[in-house]
Amino acid sequence: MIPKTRSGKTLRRVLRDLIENATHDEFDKQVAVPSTIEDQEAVTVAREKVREYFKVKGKDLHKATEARAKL
Amino acid sequence: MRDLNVKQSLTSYLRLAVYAPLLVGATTVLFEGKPVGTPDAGTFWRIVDEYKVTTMFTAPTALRAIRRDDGDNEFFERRGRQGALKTLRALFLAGERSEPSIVEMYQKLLAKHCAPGAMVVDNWWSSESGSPISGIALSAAAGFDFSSQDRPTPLSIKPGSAGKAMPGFDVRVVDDEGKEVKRGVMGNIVMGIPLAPTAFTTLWEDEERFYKGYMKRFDGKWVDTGDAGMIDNSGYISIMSRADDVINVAAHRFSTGAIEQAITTHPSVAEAAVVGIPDALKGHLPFAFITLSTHEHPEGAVPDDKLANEVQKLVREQIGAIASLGGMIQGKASCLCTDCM
Repeated sequence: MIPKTRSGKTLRRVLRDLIENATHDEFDKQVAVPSTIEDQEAVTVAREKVREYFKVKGKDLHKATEARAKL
Repeated sequence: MRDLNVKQSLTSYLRLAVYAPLLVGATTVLFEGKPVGTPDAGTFWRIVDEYKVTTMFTAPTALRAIRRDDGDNEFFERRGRQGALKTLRALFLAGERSEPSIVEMYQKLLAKHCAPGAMVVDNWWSSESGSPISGIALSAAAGFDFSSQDRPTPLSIKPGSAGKAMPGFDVRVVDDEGKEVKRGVMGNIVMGIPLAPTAFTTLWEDEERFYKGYMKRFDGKWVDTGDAGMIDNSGYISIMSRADDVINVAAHRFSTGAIEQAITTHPSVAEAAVVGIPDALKGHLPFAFITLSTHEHPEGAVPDDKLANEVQKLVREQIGAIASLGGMIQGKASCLCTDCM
């Protein structure tokens, strides 16, 4: 679930993007993933966990602080 | 002398892994493979035994994978009890932050089963520096005389710290304006110029990118490492996280690494990754992704109340109430081990 690079660094930025997108209800939005990722599948797993968390618990707990421009 | 190097990405460590051992006529053993699952979590220790490895170099993430599969260190203990790990003098860790729990665990194992005085040495550097920026020197006398056979007792380690600045590197901690902060206070880790002779002096055919990437942020005064951390009163350097992994909660700066460290002191948590989640009141709150070290993985993404409360308590106790987690998601480890893939 926690995506990492091949040299073992945690890709926090990917998780942060998933979480931020979730606060905007944009669960399926693409996130930038570096080519050095060890296991691409970890991002998919994290995305689904974030979706589940927001459905079960986080929906009213976390709101985006600024609305995103709809382009 | 033989060295065992375990590195998934070799290029940036080539100098340490191959060139540096050659300078002293040492043999390097490169192990390319998984630390667990091929066939078990004892592979590293088998190689130490079979090749009489004296100095081992790996990333903490490999040790975490072993801890997850072999929580009681049975493989290490078994080989250790046979006296098969007596050659090992040092276990070097790099590539990412080593949390104190993993350093302490292996320091105990080394003291029990390996060479007298064997140490776990967390060290910090980058491709750009070309050699360790901080660490603990095992043969400090070689700094004066390369062929010296003197082996003064090394400085002691502080789990969680990546040691002291190595010769040639002038390491400082500064605020966002480039002003040095007090000892023990977290800030941006920078280096004074010139760097040690192993380090880069430009980027290939791209002076401008070199300037923009490393020098511009502090107006040419310091080289920006992009890492955040602190230096204590004795000069030990702790690298907490990448500078952009610092979360701002109601004007308090927290390192994701420090919060992750507090979370992983919970015995059921194998690993944690903390990021900032937007919050209307405080700007951001820390939000944790955790993987469990329990054999049975619960299915749901939301941890049960007991675990959530226990983890929250650890964060409050070790970091402070203001760092309380805004939320938590649990999941399986994206493990290197074959069962999980």
